[in-house]
Amino acid sequence: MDDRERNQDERERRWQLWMVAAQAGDSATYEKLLLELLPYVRRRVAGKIFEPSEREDIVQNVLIGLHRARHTYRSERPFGPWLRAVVRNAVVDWLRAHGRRSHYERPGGIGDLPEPSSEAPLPGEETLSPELEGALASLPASQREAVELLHLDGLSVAEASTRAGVSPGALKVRAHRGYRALRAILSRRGS
Amino acid sequence: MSARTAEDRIRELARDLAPVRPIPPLRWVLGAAVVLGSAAPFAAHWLLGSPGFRSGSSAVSSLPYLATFAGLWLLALGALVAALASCVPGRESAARRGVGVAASGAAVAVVGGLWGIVAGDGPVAGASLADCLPCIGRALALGTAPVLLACAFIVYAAVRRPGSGTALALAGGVALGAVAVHVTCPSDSPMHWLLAHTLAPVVAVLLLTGPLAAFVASRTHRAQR
Repeated sequence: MDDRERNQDERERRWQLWMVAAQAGDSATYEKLLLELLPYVRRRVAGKIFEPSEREDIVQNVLIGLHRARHTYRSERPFGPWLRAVVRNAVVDWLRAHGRRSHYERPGGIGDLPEPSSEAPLPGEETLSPELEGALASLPASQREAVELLHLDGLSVAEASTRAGVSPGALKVRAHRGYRALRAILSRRGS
Repeated sequence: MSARTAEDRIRELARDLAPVRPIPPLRWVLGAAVVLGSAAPFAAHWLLGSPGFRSGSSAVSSLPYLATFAGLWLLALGALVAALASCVPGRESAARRGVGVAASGAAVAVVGGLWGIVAGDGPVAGASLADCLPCIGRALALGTAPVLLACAFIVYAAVRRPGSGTALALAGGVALGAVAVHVTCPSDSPMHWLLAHTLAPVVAVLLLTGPLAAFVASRTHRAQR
């Protein structure tokens, strides 16, 4: 066994141990593990996705997928194949959602949701006004997350629902309630 | 492009980290499903007075009967392995092997039944709907426990396609129920074995995959919330 193989074995053993600690709730070790996995994940995603602007989104999807699937790792099994499968699944899911979006949704569109009124000028805004930021902060966490994912992060409904861990329908309902609440807050402040 | 960086996301995930219990080994879950499926006919016989094991017929030792029995077993094991492995990252090859074994089992069972019919090994009776429905119903009932166990595992693990996972769980669990029906049903007709025993998993998949997959998907969304 040469040095390179020995290093790979050590690295995989270390990741195995760290993942077991993460499963037990050790958040410091978990953060260390994810930070160490990040360059590896970026390399794997870069090997599959040619559009650089999309890679970072997929990398984050991989991180979320890894977080959600962390209980499916068993310590007696090798870590590498599990990690590669998580990366592959996240990339495939993203490509599927992306394909569907390009066929069935307008870019950045949110389907049949009503457009926010002029009092809540979220779409396309690069920076938020302090007033709107305050109104967003006062929303319940689930509604705020839905509005942020759809309008600040610019995700499709399918991608946003995957990130939030809810069905697309539930995400639309949360976003709709968020818009309504935002409108109410902003019009109260305006009057 | 996301407003957050990957490093921000990592800090967020680490901050929200909660302890989790790793999934049990697949062979334990598979073993539990097989034990439940195998115990069901005994329990049904003792508790409900349903038919016990058949005996005293030469048909039991005929090749078509044994081929149907072995085919249903292979179908049950392969489909259950595929259902369980398909929702664990890194176990895709086990899932593919399971599908292969299940398909081979189904082929063996179908060929066994057809062989019996063509060779005229037994009466071609017991093929009416009235004769087949009770056996199909019993296979569904006896397969309920392994199907539910597999679906519970699918919900807890990381299922990505609830439809295929649920269809495989249904095929595997009901095939176990069909094995139990095959060894207790008094019919000597190869036509009946084919239509009522071998086709029971197919009927279950066609009728129940939709509603069960929708239920599994809704439970999976709730579990991930």
